Amino acid sequence: MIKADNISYKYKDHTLALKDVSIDLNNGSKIALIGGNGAGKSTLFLNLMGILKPTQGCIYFNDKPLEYNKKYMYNYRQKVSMVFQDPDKQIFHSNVYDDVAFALRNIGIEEEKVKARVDEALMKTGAYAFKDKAVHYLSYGQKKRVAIAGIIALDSEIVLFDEPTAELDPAMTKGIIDIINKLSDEGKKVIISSHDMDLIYSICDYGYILSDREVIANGPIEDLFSMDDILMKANLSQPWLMKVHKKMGVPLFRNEESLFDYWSELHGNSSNRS
Amino acid sequence: MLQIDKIAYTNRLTKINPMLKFVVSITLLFTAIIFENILFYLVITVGIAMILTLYAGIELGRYIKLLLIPSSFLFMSIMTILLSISSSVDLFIYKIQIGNIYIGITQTSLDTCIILLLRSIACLSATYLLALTLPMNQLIRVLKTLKMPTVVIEMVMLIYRFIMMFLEEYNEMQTALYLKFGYGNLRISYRSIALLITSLFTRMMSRYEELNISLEVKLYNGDFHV
Repeated sequence: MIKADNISYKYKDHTLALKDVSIDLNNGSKIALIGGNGAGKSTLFLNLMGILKPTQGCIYFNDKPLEYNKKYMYNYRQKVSMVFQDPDKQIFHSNVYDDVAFALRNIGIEEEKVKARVDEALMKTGAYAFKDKAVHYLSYGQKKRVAIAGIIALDSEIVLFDEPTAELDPAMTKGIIDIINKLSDEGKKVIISSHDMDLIYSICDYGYILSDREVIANGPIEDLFSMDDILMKANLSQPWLMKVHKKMGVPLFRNEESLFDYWSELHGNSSNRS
Repeated sequence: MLQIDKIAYTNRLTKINPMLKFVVSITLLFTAIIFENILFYLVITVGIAMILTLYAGIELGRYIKLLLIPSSFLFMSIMTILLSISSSVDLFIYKIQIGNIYIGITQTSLDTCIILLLRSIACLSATYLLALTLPMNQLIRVLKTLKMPTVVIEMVMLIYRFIMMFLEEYNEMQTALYLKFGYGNLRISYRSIALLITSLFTRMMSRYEELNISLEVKLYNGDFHV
């Protein structure tokens, strides 16, 4: 598993992008990386992927430090993969099928197996229906599904999601949550960077809060989100279920369905206005 | 540009065997280049127009507009061949006199022009038959079956994808400039166009860097598999 030990990263123009960041991905199965704009989430992801090399500190994979050579990275990136925020940056082919198959063909998998894995990935992400379409005629949400399918097809142990639901409509957001949950159920480790607190709260079990290039808090999600002052400092806010719990004296629930169930049990059906 | 692409993906002939479409268009194109026969040119032009409008379902007006796109180039080149300058009068069938030289049309230049014009239109029709019914994704598959060098196919594919991204970016910026009154008068327009070009360039460069990163993530090792 991945562990970052006190890593700092300085860009070539000497702006500091990460300061003594330590994270351990053994702490949970769906790990959140939360922080406001410019907190350093994306830089941290690029460091974890081995695209950027920390200027100080070290990243460990299965207790061994990362090696920054081609051969090592070739194996490493089959085990650790990443979905970018903007799907257009991850899609090279103008044909959906070929794009999902891209990484698989790069690592030299036989065409028959490629087909099986691509089809499976397209099914899982709900992109099968438009697999023969040209990419530039897809909607943003559809492109996002294709980009995720391209990573899922790789079948890596760890998947990093950079802002997976940014700019998506509610239905698509739910679709992405389902995909992430499915991956996690298959035993894959998922790391999600986001500043959508409700999203993080509903799916993640452990989290790190980044603020101004540093990790300022970490812990199980419920603990993390009860620290109001720290969230404020990081330009974040509490998820609405947490606010309802704190300000209205309702028990704490992890998702809205259980809150609504609780409520209708308490007040009978009279509170149902739908 | 985009319009041709859109038609290629949505017409009624899109689903037909790509190889068939490719072979038919290319054969028609080359026969039109090789053989010199006015009737043949007319048959190709009308025939393709009928295929594209009746079978593929492209509106006739739209198709004619597409055919007219290269007409200014065609017109200019035809004019240079049609008109000849000479000091003797007997060759011309129509002429004007300037000083002691004549500018006019001769029988041979007229004949050449008619053939050239019809041939160009026939070739153009054959090209449109290819471009309007064979979407790029199918063309790439055809090139692959024909064992074209991978480098060529890669370039075709990537250039195509980048053109689409470029156009998208361009359109967005263009709209933004309009909304900020960037085309108010001629002077401002010039400045806006300069801004558009510079920011298009910088954006494309940063796009390129980001694509490089995601190529690494996708385990790219020098070959594009198509």
